[in-house]
Amino acid sequence: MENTLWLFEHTSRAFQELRQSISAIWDDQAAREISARFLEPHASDSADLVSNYKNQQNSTNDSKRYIAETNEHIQKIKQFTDEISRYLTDASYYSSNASSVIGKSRQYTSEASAKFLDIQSQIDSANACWSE
Amino acid sequence: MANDPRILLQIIDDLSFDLGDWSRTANEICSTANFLQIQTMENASSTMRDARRYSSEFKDMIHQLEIAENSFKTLRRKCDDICKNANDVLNESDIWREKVGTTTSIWQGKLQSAEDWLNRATARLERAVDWLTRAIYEFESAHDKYEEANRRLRSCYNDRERKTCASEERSALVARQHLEEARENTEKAQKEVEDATEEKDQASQKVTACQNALSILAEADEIAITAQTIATSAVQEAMKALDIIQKISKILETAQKARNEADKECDAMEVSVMNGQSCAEEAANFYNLAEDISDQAQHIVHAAIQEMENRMDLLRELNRPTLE
Repeated sequence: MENTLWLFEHTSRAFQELRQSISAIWDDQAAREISARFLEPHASDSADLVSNYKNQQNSTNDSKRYIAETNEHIQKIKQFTDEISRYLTDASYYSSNASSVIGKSRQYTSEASAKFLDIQSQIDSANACWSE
Repeated sequence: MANDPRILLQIIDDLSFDLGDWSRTANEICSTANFLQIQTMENASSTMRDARRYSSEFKDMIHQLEIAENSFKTLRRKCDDICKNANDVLNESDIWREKVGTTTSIWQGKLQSAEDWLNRATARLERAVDWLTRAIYEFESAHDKYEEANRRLRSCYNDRERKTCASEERSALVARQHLEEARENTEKAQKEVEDATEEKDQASQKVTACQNALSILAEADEIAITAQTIATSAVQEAMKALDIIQKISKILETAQKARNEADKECDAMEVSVMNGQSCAEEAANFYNLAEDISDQAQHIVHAAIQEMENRMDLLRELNRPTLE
């Protein structure tokens, strides 16, 4: 686009320069009529075209820059998402371990508590061996 | 000023040629700008789609992270509970061991008393048996003496030469009294032996009972030791769980930090993607305007070239040599 725009701007400028150079040679009624009907509006349109294409190019460049920025953000978000996913996998693994260990502890606690009943029963039996 | 039709023809032809050149370049840039615009819009749309996709994936991940955090809260509560329970049970097992120890001490004291009693009862029985042996011997001796005194008394009664048997009668009476005393003593000794035997039996039973109780308490102590060992294992497992919980806590904390960073990136991405789209739309507006102006300019150029062609035809007509 840049080269084409440069070429277009150059061609437009060259045409205006041509107009300028022949105005000193050809300045009769016909020249003024052609200039007024065609060449002046054309010059104005030509300038507007250059201006709009330049603006389009600038906006396009801005858009590209924002898109590049967006892609950088996307990459980072992707990295963070992957990172969180790995953390969640680790957390899930450790949670499973913790559950298993908690289960074991709970089992031991129950077993020990059951023994207390046996101990009380034994003490009762011992105390029942003789009463004064 | 040029009035020569040939010069004017050349000027108009140059103008017309350059206008044609301009027109081709304008067409070229219009099609380049069109291509660029299509590309820009496609890129902006595609980036917006990507942004939405990754934003959505990230939101899903946040949801999963929240679920994991809630699960973790439940797990941590369970872990706290089990730590408390395990420590309570370990303390209780200590108390039970102490209780068994105290009860054992009491029964050891009772056993000592029972053994002392048994020793005393055994000594009493031995003394009673000695007494009875002596009493029986004395009884038999008294009985013999009594028999002898009676035989002498009967001999005296049968002896006609004897006027009186008072001496034999006294002796027989004394022997009878001695026999009675020996009999009573024997009975008392017998009773003492029976009482001592009963006491010894009772003491012996108590010793056996105490020994049984201590044997049962030894078993109870074994159970208490086992309970203590198991409770220690429960505490150790609970501590392991606590370590793991702390690990998970750190992991989730790091994940939360990553989430916060990603949140910032998401906000920034929202802004940049909207800006990208907005600039692409702005570029489209410039392009559309340029396209309209370009159409208008091409129309002017076409009309100008046509007009110039007409003028050149007239000039050529003027420039044609006449027959005159």
